[in-house]
Amino acid sequence: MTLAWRFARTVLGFGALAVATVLLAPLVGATAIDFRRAFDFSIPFADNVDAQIFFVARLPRTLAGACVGGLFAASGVVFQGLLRNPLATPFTLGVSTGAALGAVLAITFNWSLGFIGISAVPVAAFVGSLVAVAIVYALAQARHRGLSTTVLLLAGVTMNAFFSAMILFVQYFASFADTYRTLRWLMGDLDVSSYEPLLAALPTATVAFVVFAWLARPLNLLSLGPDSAESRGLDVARAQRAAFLSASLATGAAVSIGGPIGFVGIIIPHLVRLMVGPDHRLVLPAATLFGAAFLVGCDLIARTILAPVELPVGIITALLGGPFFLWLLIRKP
Amino acid sequence: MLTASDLWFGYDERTPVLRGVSLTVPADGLVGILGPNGSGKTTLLRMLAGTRRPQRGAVALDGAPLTGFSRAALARRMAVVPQETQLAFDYTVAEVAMMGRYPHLGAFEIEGPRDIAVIDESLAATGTLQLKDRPYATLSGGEKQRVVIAAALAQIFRLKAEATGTDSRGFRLQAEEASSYLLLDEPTASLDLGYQLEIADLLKRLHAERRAAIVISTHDLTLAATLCERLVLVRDGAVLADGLTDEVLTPENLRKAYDVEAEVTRHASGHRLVVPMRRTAPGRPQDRATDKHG
Repeated sequence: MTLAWRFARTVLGFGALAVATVLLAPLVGATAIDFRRAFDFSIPFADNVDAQIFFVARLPRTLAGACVGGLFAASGVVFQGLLRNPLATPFTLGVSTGAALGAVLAITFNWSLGFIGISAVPVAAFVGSLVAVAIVYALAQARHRGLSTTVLLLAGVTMNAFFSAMILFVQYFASFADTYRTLRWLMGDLDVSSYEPLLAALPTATVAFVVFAWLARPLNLLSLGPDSAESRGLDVARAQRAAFLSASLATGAAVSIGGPIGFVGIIIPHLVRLMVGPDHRLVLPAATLFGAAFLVGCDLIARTILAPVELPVGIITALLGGPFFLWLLIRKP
Repeated sequence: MLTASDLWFGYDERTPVLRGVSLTVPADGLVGILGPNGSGKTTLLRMLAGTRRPQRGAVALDGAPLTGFSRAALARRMAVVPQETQLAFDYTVAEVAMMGRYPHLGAFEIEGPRDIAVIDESLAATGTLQLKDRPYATLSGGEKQRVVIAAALAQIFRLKAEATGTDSRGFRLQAEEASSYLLLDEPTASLDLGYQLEIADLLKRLHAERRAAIVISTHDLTLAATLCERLVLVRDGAVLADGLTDEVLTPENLRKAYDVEAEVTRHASGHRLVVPMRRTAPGRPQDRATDKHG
C-alpha cells in the first residue's frame, strides 16, 4: 500500500472522527437541543434558541477544545521526535510552567488589558511561555553548535522546577480568591465562551502547523540519531531549532487558551503510533485530528458527568492519562 | 576521487583529534582506515563525509571542495553507515531503507514507484528483502547492519535506465553520479564472527558489482587484511602508513600503530593472516575512547 493512499485514509478517517465530535458535542449538555433545528436557517437566529445555544454558548468551547487538543497532541509528537524520547510531553521543556507563571502573575496582580477588550491572563500565559522558551533555548545553544538535546532536557526540567517555585512564592502572598482562581487555571479548563481566544491563537497555530508539515520527514530522520540524519542530507541543527520553536509556540498558544491540560500530548501520539505506525507524515496529521476529537470528548464528559457541575477538563484527561502512562511504562515492547 | 589534505580537528581546543591527515580514495577503491581505539578514525570518516568540517585543511570530491556542495547533493554521492543504529521509534525495515531516499525528494514530496524500486533492489542486494515488513528493532545485529547498508545504497544509487526484471543478480542499480562513496564506521565491531564474515562478503560483492568506492574504518586487522585493497594506518590522529594492503600490513607498522608484536603470513587459502604475539609496551595514556566522542 503506497504512502499516498495511507495518508489519504488516515486524514479522512481521523478527520471524519474530529468533525463528527465537533458537531455532536455542542448538542449535549444541561439543555437538550435539536441538531436539525440548530441548523434550520429558515428560522431567524434571534428566535432560534437551539441555534443560539449551539453557536454562541457551546460551539466556541468545543472549537477551543479541538484547537487545544490538536495543538497539544501535535506538539507532543514533535517534542518526542526532537528529543528521541517517547516519554517526552509538550510540558517537558518548561513551556507550560512558564505560561503558568505568567497566568498566575496576571491573576494575582490583577493585570488588565481592558482597553483592548481581552483578558490579560491568556496574554500573560503566552508571554510566560515565550520567556521560558527563550531561556531554555539560550541554555541549550550556549555551549554547543546546534542544539544539544541533553542540555535541552536538563534545562527544561530545571526551569520547570524553578518556575514552579516562583508560582508557589507568588501564591504565598496572594489572597484566597486569587489562589482559588489560580488553582482553577492550573487544572486546565476550557471555559471559553467567545471566539476571541481562538482568533487570537489562530496565527500562532497556523505558523506552527505549517512548520510541523515540513518537519514530518526531518523527524523521521532524527530518529536515526543526529549523525546519521546529517549524512542523509538533513540540516540537523536547523531541523532541531524549527522543531523546538514551533512546538513550543504551539504549546504556548494552547496553554493560553485552555491552561496546562495534561496528558493529551502523550496519550494521543502513542495511540496514533499504535494505529498508523511511526512515520511522522502519518503520525502528525493523525495525532492532530485525534487529539482534537479526544479533548472535545473529554470536555463533554467533564461538562456532563456531574451536571450541572462542570469539571475542569484537565481532571478528566489526567484521570484517564495517569493509568495510561503507567501502562505505557510496563507494556511489553 | 575523494581527497583529504592536511586535516586538523579537535572537539575542544586543547586536544586535537586529527593532526594533519592527508589521504586519497580512488573512485573505485576499497580503502581501509586502520588504527587502534581513539586514533581518530570516526572523526576522520565524519570529515570525509562532510558532516563535520575540519578546522584546518579541506576535503575535495573530484577536485571540488565539500563545502561547495549542498547537503542533499553531497548525500546523493556519499552515504555513511555508523557503527550501530538505534531508532527512537519502531520503524519497519522498509521505512528505514526509505530514509535513504531523503536527499532525492523535495520538502513535501513522497516516495514514488521508482524510489520504492530502488529500496527493494537495495534490500535485495543486502539479502534483507524478505525482512521488509519486520520491525527493525526485532532484527539481529547482523540483519540491522545490513538494513542500514541497504539504506545507504538507496541513498547513492538509482535504477539503471535499461533495467529489466529478468536480471535477478542485482545489477539493476547504478551509482547516481560519476563517483559515489560508501563510508562505513567499524561495520563489524559489534558483531560476532558469523555476521562479521557476512558483512565482509557483502561489502566485497557490493564493491565488485557496483563500482562505488568503499571506505571502512576499523581496528580489526583481519577484516582489513582480507577485505581492503589499500590501507591507511592512523595513530593519534596522524597517518603512519598509506599504500597497498601488502605494503602497509607489516610487523614494523603494526608495532608502531598498536604496540603489538605481530606476524603477517598467508593462510593456505590465500588470505592474509595477522597473528598478534604480544604487547611491546604498556597501555598508552592517549589510549582514550575518542572514537565514541560526540
